[in-house]
Amino acid sequence: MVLARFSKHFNLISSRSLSTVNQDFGLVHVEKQFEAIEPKKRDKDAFMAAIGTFKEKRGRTHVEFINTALKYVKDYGVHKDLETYKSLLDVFPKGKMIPQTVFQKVFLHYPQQQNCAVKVLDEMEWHGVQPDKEIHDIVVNAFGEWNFATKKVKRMLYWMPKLKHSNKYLDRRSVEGLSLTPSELAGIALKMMNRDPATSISLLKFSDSSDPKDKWMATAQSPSQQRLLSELSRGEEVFVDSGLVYVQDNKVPFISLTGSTKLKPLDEFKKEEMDDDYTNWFEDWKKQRIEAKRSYFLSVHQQDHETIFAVGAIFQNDNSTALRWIDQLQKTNPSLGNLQIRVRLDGKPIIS
Amino acid sequence: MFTSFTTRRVFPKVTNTSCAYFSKESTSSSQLAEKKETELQNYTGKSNLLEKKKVGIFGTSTVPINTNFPNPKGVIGYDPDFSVKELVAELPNTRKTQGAKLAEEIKDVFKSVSVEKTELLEDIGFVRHNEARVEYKFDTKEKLDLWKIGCDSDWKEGFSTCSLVNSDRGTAIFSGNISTKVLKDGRVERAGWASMKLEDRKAFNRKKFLSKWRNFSHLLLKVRGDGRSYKIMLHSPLSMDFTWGDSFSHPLHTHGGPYWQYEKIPFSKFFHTVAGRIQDRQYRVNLEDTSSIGIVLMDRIDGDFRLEVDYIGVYNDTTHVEDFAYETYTLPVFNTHGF
Repeated sequence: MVLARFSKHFNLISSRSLSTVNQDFGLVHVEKQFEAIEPKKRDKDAFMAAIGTFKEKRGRTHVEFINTALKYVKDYGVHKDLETYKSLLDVFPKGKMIPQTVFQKVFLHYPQQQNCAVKVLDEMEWHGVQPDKEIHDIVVNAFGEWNFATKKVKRMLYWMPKLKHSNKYLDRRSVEGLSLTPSELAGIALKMMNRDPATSISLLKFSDSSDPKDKWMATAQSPSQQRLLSELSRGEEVFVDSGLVYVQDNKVPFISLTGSTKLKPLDEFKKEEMDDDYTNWFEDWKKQRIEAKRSYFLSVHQQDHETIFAVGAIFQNDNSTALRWIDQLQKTNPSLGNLQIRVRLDGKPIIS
Repeated sequence: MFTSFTTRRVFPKVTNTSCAYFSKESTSSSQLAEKKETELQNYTGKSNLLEKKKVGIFGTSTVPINTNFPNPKGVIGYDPDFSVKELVAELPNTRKTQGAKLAEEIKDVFKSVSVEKTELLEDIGFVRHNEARVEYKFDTKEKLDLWKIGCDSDWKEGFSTCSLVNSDRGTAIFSGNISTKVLKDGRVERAGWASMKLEDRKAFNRKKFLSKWRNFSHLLLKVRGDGRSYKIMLHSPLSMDFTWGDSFSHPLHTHGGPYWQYEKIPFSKFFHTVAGRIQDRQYRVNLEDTSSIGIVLMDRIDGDFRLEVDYIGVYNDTTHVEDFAYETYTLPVFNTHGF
């Protein structure tokens, strides 16, 4: 009993003395250092400052620090920033961990540190941050030319630029690292979605000074779409639907004006028989001519299941705004007034 | 091997053991604290949180290897012991379904005996320019059933969802939601994937290879996406365990919107990956070894996705003479692949 009380007392003393140590020498866990900053103030500068103070102290707990810092990259909004990853990897001491002997080279020299470096690089790759020569040099200076962590950065430097521009529909340079307004994003999305090179994309902004909210609408339509729309007979139905498209990690809602396809879809594949049969040559020839004529008039907008007359985007996806978009479209397509327009926007938007 | 013959899934214990990782018992520490003192005194020093793993002569391995067959998918805690009674009960059904498959196979062989068959000529190598062959369509339920879907939540490793359904247009709609939220079980590090994969097999579970595609230059897909970047994977696992993760991949970028896109991907551009990781030693995909094709989404973006697939096939472009698009360096003797 006495012993227990004594030990309790002892614990109290020891904990108190620890807390005083904390205050005096700044012996705080790294996690607390990152936690201490309130969520509003969490940005790149705060993150860099934390790295800076660690470097100043020249502690030995590099791995602990980096692992903790890595947990907070998303919180601080620096997960897509190359400079941050550079300064994180720069925390590792230079030269000390470069293998000198054959055995050090063959086995994982400084395994904790190398695995930690690989983890940082993997996080970087996961967030799609493109490495450069400098980050390679940083790793080389810490771990040597052909070490495990260096191999990782070399692989990234080899493959990531190769696949960086494999997307032919979207130029990532026009999106990445830029803070784009919704209307700018809509323009990029419309350019990405449209398959007709003759399409002209227009943006209309409402100069309504009384309303602080930015109001705009974008339209993408080509001359062949205007022709298709003018060919519709009076009273035919056209539909306004909403959809969603991703421009990298931005979700962009769009609307489309579509109608039913009257032409039977062309066969995409022509079945070729090996043995030529000339008994019905006249019929075949006639059919071939009709097909050729049809394919001449058939545009990309006449899809198998629907004809697309226009694609657009509006500042808010609801029926009333869509009607304003239709009004705007009617200026260039007067035949739209004769058609029955069904607007089906309200409710949850569906992708494409 | 018998397990794969039966149509019934023999996974009696899997759910129990794999769930142990996620049960309340293993995760919440508060429950432990509530335990009575007497219980704690009886503490033997052994963990009673997780069921003890059975250790075989070769040790346990979480990756599928030859020695822990028959567990082709590497499911943790898989129990190969099942009663013979169940097997016997299942036998007539197996004979019926697999027999029908076999009969069809034999019929196909006799149908293609004729020399005038274009498909036979294609197999020999007479493929003309601009020629295409549509292999997989999605207009009936039977055709759709050849495709299996999966996402991280199926493995209790995340929160993504996915589904594959027929549309009215006779196409398949692969849709769902990707969530990169990581499950806090201390094991999973990354999450957020969904995939559809072809499981087309011949009678009696024999592998069907895509070798008839070998004379074509491009993979052809007619899809309608949502602007996200998917990935095509040509899976080519062989009998040895180190080839089980082999696949050849290429991104499938979609432009989204109401227009269909015809995506022609040259086979020369597929790069070698193992379990999704790009390898150092690269070589061209060998379609004779390829037995499955998959479409995967893991673009690290949270949100709904939707990919409509009309058909998957092959296309030949005789002007495409490239054999392999990437550098094939001679690696030093000491490389990551060993000797």
